[in-house]
Amino acid sequence: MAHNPYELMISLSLDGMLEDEEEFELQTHLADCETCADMFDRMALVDTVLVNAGEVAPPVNFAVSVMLRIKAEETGRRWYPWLIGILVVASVLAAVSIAAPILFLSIGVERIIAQWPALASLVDNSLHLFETLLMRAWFITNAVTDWYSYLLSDPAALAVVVTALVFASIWIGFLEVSKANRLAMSGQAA
Amino acid sequence: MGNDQELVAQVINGDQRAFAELVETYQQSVYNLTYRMLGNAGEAEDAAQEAFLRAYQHIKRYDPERSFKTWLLSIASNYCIDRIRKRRLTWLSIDEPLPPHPSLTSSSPDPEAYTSDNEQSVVVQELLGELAPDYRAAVVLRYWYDMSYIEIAKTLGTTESAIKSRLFRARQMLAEQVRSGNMSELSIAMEGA
Ligand SMILES: [Zn+2]
Repeated sequence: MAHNPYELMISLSLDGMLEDEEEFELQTHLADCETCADMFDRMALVDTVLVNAGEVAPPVNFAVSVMLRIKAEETGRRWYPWLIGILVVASVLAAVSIAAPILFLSIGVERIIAQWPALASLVDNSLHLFETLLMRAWFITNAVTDWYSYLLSDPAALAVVVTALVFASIWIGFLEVSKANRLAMSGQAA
Repeated sequence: MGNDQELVAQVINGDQRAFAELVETYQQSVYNLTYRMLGNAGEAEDAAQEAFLRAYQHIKRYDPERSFKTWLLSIASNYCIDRIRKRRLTWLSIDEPLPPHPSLTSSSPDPEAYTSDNEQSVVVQELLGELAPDYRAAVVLRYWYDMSYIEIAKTLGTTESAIKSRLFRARQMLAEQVRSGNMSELSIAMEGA
């Protein structure tokens, strides 16, 4: 005798999915068939165990942890107002530093510097050193990392680098101007 | 139910406190599901958090015609099924599974959860652990959430006939467990129930 359709019927019976006639047919078969009766007993036993298993309660501070996680997840990807502020200020400073040579010339700061030869040679040397270091750093960075894509993905790192570049360019601009001006002045003197 | 839809509308308008209320209401249902699916408290907590996080991030995709609880359970059960499948892959590779962020997992689970049905719980988890994840999900939704075949099918994104056969195959496998010697343990568990 094929037991399989009856095994499926046992499962459906446990879920209350059988019509009255089907239920009657199943019970009739179970009364006659030891194999299916045994299957019914075992499935019914598992059923009872599962029906009686209660719900497990979450840890006491679960809801708080969820909300903390949501907050952490949200802020992790956000461009903070202060971060945007730094970027704006840094960009303005960068623009100013590009215009710095003109500014320095018009103010006349570099003429004062040029009057002290010791200071002038210090400016020359540090400019040379700075350029060398900057070039090296540039090549090393380029060679070692794919920093470009990294910077675009991380606003904080981008802000740090832009700020650093701003200070570097101001410094270079300042040194370049004083050097150019000194050359011009020594030309005049000769 | 109507209250849930109102809260969801508030969440969409940016009110996180409204979502906190939904978490309060459904935390036990979601956690119980992830615990029954994954079988241990640490993973269950992480998965339940993840389910709520995904619900929050995709709250606009929620269809207000459906029950919010069913939608949550759908996210949680599908996440757990994926997670179990990945867990198998992870065991095959050398990589350790990533632990949840330390600041985000809370200390010890609620002791009450374990005192009430300690021994029985072990037997239940042993039984469930024998089942493939999609069979396990069908059994969990049937027994703990009293869902009909159609509701289970919708929750797991499959057909009613697929659920009918999954529950049948699952019962056959569990009955096989009983034959192979878990009968006495089960009987003890039943007496305790
Ligand atoms: Zn039979």
